[in-house]
Order: sequence, then structure tokens, then C-alpha cells
Amino acid sequence: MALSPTNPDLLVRDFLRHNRWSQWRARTAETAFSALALLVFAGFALWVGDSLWTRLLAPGTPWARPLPAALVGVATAFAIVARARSRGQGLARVHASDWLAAMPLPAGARRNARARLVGSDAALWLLGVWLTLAWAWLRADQSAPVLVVALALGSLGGSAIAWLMPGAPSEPAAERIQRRERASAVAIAAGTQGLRLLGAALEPAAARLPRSAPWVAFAFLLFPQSTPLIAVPGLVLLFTALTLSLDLIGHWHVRYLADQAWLDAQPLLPRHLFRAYLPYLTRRTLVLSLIFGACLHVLGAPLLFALALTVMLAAAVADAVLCGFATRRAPGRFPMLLILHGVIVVATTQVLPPALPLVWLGCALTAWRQGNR
Amino acid sequence: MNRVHPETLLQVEDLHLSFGANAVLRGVDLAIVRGQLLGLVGPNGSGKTSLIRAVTGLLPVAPGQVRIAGIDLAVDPLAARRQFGFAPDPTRLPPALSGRQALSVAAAARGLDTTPASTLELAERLGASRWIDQRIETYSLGTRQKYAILIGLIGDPPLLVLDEVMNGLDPISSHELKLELIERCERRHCGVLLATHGLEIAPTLLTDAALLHEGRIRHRWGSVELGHWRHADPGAFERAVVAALRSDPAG
Amino acid sequence: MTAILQISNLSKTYASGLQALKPVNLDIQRGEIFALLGPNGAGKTTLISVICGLVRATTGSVLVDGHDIQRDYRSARSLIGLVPQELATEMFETPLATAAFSRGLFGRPPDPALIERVLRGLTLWDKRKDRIQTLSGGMKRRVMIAKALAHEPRVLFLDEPTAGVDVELRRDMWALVRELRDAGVTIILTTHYIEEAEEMADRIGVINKGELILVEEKSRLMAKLGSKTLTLQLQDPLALLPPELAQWQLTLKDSGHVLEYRFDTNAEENGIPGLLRRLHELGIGFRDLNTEQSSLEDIFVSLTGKRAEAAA
Repeated sequence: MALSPTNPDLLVRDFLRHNRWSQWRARTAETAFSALALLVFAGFALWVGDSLWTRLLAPGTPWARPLPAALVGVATAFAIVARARSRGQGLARVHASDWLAAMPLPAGARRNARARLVGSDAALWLLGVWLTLAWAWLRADQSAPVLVVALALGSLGGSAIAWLMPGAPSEPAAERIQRRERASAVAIAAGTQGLRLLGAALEPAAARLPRSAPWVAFAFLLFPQSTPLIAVPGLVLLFTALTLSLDLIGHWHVRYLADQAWLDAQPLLPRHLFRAYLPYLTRRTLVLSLIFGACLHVLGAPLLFALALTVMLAAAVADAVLCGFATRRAPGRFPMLLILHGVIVVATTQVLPPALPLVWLGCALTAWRQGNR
Repeated sequence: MNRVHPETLLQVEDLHLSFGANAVLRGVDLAIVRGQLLGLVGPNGSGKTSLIRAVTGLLPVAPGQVRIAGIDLAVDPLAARRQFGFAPDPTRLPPALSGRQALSVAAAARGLDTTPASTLELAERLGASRWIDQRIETYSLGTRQKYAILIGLIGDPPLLVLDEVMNGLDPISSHELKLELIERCERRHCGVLLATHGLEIAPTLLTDAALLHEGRIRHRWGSVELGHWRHADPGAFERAVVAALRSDPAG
Repeated sequence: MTAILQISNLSKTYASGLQALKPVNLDIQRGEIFALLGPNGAGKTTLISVICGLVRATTGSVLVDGHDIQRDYRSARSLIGLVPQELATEMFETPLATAAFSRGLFGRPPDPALIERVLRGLTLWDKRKDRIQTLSGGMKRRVMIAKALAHEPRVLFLDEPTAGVDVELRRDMWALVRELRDAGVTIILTTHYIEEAEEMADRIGVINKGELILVEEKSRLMAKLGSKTLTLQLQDPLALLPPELAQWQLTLKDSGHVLEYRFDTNAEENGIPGLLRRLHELGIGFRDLNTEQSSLEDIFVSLTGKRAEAAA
């Protein structure tokens, strides 16, 4: 295998890492702040997760039985493979025509580099999953909880497949997406309505990105044991609405950065570009949060509670979008800002829930002003 | 060393290429021997870039054959690619790397341990070294173009394939590049395929020129004709190209 | 006369330590054509990018018609149009759509009459519904200009408008820039062709290695630097310059095969006809003759040379 450090793609990765590292070092204050926010978030996740694990691993839950546990393991493997596959295909598409495409590279060199890049990504995931499992195992009363074993095996299997699978592009799929994007560009041009129509381009872009749908399967884990079968469709719908909201933010963010990249040659007002996506985002968010709230209500939540959660979901999506807007010049800070806002909101709910709308408004306004700078 | 030095560096035979129903190349025949600096000229949309992409293996072609220094590009792409250097599209250079880093990656891709000193020296001569430790995304088009050229020339491959590389270069650097290309052809017996629409530079740089039009090579000028135009007024070659296009029954 | 663009102490230093732009002070007058002349990588694009808000300056400020580009960026940017080097218009199919869309980018209300005027002015009206891909290189550049003009800017930046454009199109472009100026647009263009700066500009700024070396009225700069060389390839080599030719500034080169005559382009009488007549009378035949203008390199050499003298 030509996996020497002189593999140009791996060299590019090393250089990028080096550049990112020197950038972090150059901005000490910001890096320290981000690290702190990450630590606070991790602490919060530990605190929430702790009670979750004790409940999930209690004897007598369906997950203590081999078959449901095995299903969860398979879902884990599937999610990891799906993620690796879409990443490998993306890289293969880039490699087919990038600046090194005409270089005298051995046939396997670029495929190996892809496998390495995708594989190290999968390895990181595996590490994360196993650390979580180790923690769960420590908290569990049994010596070897079936669910933990299933998740460990599933993630290991998924990562192994991701390692061994060379990222081959599926050409017809790539072409189809390009054709659709082109069609939407034509639609925008024909309308000559300016920026408003940029949002329309989000629809085909959404098809291109990896869906987080496989993760919906994990929602089953959270269903209380006593869930009646009749409530399951409602619950599935509810979690689907949640994951689709996540997808919505992800798709929008990728598209927004891409649009900004080619529109940046224009001395363009940031908020005019931002406004372009609002109709699309508002429509989607409204529909998804209404489905979410309706499901909650149908499943037995009091009307007021369901309404409050509906508003919170919509507010969360809006906040995430504003964070994307605020960090448009340095997209690397997007997750950090999201985490920070998350920590602030959670802290407020714990300390002084009535202040939540005000705090949220404060976060949103800061992000808006930051983005407009 | 008793290495075989094939005289013909590029041999293109009956090359066809179509995008859907649109035939771009309709049987191109072209050859470059050592020491030749061949300009590929032709109007916009005549297929110059497609031919360059086919010759470098970036577009699969069928039917047709491309041999680089005697090696069939379709049969042994790796060995064939070792024999040519290609300056990539300057807009495709990795934006987050510095020029120096991009050069090391390109050197690694050609199997070299480090960027050759001659490449860094050429960067200096082209006036590109001031920006070398700066990220490529901050470069102007001209500076990007210079790094794309340096990447194409790295490792001294016998054949150089260059697509419109004179675009956006200032007079000093384009003069330096001319000197470098001429030196490589005369002293080191390299060959150059240079697609260009700037006809002014042609007579002072090229030893040969080929006119691509409607997917075929319609006319070819040799060193004698070009040498003649070198001492005539600068518009002579341009007039010859226009005359060849007019007399072309397909055009 | 008020300056439409006031640049004071503007500089850009990157984190890597590269000083892309040393402090620049420059006023651009309303309605003038200003050419920024310098080789690739000298900082021309950096200067334009800072003014257009694409790159943040390290020090200094820029006022566009009195509006600060940072504090009052909205007013400042709406007065600016930029034609970048790269032809990035793939997304939009036709010139008409591109121009109309670009107006929308600036938040201006649609104005079909204005778009029509802009496209007609650029002779793009007949091709308004053609796909941009099918247009020639020169026409594509016109589309980029139409795009930059669609929101009625007062200052237009042209970043190397003629790079990769053939001689004929270059002349068209020059004429076009003059028309725009006559319509009241202030124009700042970058170029590395001295003849382009000479042809178009009212004033010329020379920039090298991030430093604005000088800013001068074109006529004065050309008087300083506008010497040309006439080179004669002699049929038979001359061992010595005949004394009859003493009134011309001549040098013998290439072991007597080449005769060089340096003359001032701005002088009313360049002396060439007289020289040729005298050569004929003396029976000195030549095979070939050509003239060469002082190149950008000569200018830099003479400028840096002069600066060294001044420092000494």
C-alpha cells in the first residue's frame, strides 16, 4: 500500500491540520474561550446522559433482550457506514478533477488516501462511541449489559466496513444532483427576482447532503418501556420532525457558505443575502415544529406544554440559523457558537425559566449584530 | 545511462470526443517531438481545452489514442503521466494551503522528497516568491497562475502541457516564462504543448503552431514560417491564422 | 474639487507577516480615470479588495464620497462597482438575467429601463438572451461590467480588464472605459501593460512590492519615462560611428551589427526621418528596423534608480 507520508492527499491533510493549529495558536483568547464552552457542554452532556443510561440499562427494558439490542447494534453499524460512504463519495468526486488529477499517482494512491481519510474519521467516531459505552458500563448494575455489547459490536463492525470500503463515486447520482442544481440555477435566473430565489436552491441541495435519518432509529431507545404500540407512529413522527429540523439547519448552512463564496466578489450587504433564505427556512421550520407539537399533544402532553415545546423548537432552529449568519466569515466557529448558546439556554432553564425568552432574544440579537458587521 | 529517449513526446491519433450529441473533437492528429514548442491556436470554443484535458487523461476518450513519449495513456496511465507536467486550472488550487505547501504536495505527487531548488528559483524569477508563505485564497489571479505553472514544471518532465498560462501574467514574468520554456526546449530537449489565444506571443516563442478548428487540426505552421514572421511585423501571424480560418471549408 | 475616494494610511499585513500593502495615501478625483500599474503580486488586487470590503485593512481608512467603508459601509458599497479578474458568472444564464440579478443583490428595486440602458451601452442588448457560455471572451467581460454597473455605482473598479483579451478587444475595452467616464463614472483600473495605462488614464500610480512608488499625471510620467528605442539591423557591420551621425544619440551594439537610437516620444521632432535620410546618404543599409517602447521593467529600473539617487 502506498500509504507513505508522501501520499500527496495525506500531505494536504497534514498541512491543513498544521495551518489550523497555527491559526488557533495565533488567536489564543478565542481558542481558550471555545475550549471552555466545549468543556461546559461536555459537562452538561454527562449530567443529562448519566440519568439516561441508568434508565436505559435498567433490567427489564426491551433493550435487555438480545433481539432488540441486536437491532440497535445493526442500526449503529448502518449509520457509521452511511456516513463514511457519503464522505468517501464526496472525496472521490473532488479527486476526479482537482489540481492533482493529472499527476503521476499510482492507481491506488488516491483511493488509499480516501480510505485513510474516511477511516480515521470512522476511527474517531468509534473512539467516541466506545468511551460513551465504557462510561455506561461503569454506571450499569449488570456485568455486561446486552445493549452495551450490541452497540460496541455494531460500532466496531460499522467502522471496519468503513475502513475497508474504498470510496467509489456513484456517477449517475452525482450527475443527477448536478442536473438538479443547474435547473434551480436556471429557475433563479429566469425569475430575475434577485436574492429572494436563492432559497429555492436549497431544495436540490438538501438531496445531496447525508441525511441524519438513520439516527432516528436511536430514538426508539428513549421510548419508555410502557409505550403502547399505538403511540409508536406518533413518536416516530415526532423524532423525524426533530431530525429533519437538524437536517434543515445543516443543508442551509452548507448552501449559505457556498452561495456566499461566489457572491463575495460583490460588495454585498450581508443581511440581503441572509434574507434570501428566510421564506424557505420559515416555511420548513413552521411545518416541522407544528408536526412536533401536534404529536406531543396527541401523545398526551397538555396543550400549553406542547405549545411551549413547539415554540422552543422553532426558536432553536432560528437561533442556529442566526449563529450560522454570525459566523459566516469564520464557519469553523459555528458549532462553538451553537454550543455556547445551548449552554446559556440550558443554564437559564435550570436557574430562572421565566427569563428564557429574554435570554434567547439577547443571544439572537447579538448573533444578528455580529453577522451584520 | 542507456535510457531510451523516444524522439516523439506526444502522439495524438484520430482523437474523438463528444459531450452528449455535441462532438467537440472529430479526429485530431497531432505530434510533438523533442525541442518543439507547439502552440495550439484556435477561436474560442474550438476545443483547445477539451484537447488539453484529453491529452492529460482528465477526460476519457474513445475512439482515439494518446501516446506520451511512446507510452499509451490508456494502457499505462501512470508511466505516461510521469512523462508530462500539466499546469492545473489556477482557480482549482487548494485555497487553504500556502504556495510553498502546494509546491511540496506537487513534488510529493511526482515522487520527490522536497520541492526542487530550481522550482523555488523560478518562483523568484517569476516574482511569485513574495507570496509563497501566504494562503492561496489571498492570491490574485496572476499570482495563482504563476503557482499553477510552477506546479506544472516541477520535477522537469520531458513534456509540458500548458493551457492559456500567459493569461494575466505581467510582461516581466511572461518574459521570464518564455525564457524558461525556450531554455527547456533547446537545452534539455523538452517539448511543450501550449494552448493560447494570444497570437502576439506566438512568433517570438513558438517553434510550431497548429490551428484547431471545428474539432480537427486544420493547419500547421513549422519553424521556418514562424521564424519568418518573427522578423516581420507582429500582426503577420495573426493574419495567417485568420487566412487559414477563412480558407477552411468547414469554417 | 473634492476627491470621491480618499485613502489614508491604508495598509494590509497578513498573519504570516507578509506586508501586502505598505501604508497608502491617495485621493481619486471625481470623474477621472486612474490606472494602478504594477506587476502581478504587487498589491493591486489587495488594494482594490480592501476598498471593496473583501479584505479587512490592518491600518488606515477609506472614504467613498465621504462615507467610511467600515462605519458607513452600506452607503460606501452602494457607490462602488467591481469588475473582478475572474469571470464568475456561470450560475446565470443570460446577460439580462445577470444584470437584473446583480441589481437585486444590492437591494435596489428592479428597473428594466436602466438595465436596458446599461446593456445597450455595452452593445449587449442584442445578446441579452444568449447564454453567457456561448459569448466570446470580450463579450463575457462586458457582461461582468454590466453586472457591476447595474446598481448605478459612482466609482467603478476594473481589475485587469484586458488580461487574456486580444489586441482588438483591448481597444474596444479602452473606448468603452472612456464612454463610461464621459457618463460620469470615476474609474480605477489595474493593469500591467504600460501602453494601457498610457492610452486610458488621466493619472497613473505605480505600485511594486506593496508600495505605491509614485502617483503622477500621465503626461508628466510619460515625459519622464517615454523614451523609445529604434533598432536598426545593419546590412554590413560598422566599426565606428561616422561623425556625420553625431547629432543623434546613437549606440553601436552586437559588434557593429546593430544601431540603436533612443528618442523621446513626447518631443515634437523625433529625428527619425532625418536619421534615415542621412544613413541613406552615407550608404549605410539596414535589413530590418523596429521600435521598442520603454517597458514596465525599464520604468521600475529607472524609478528605483532615481530613488536611489535621491537617497544618495
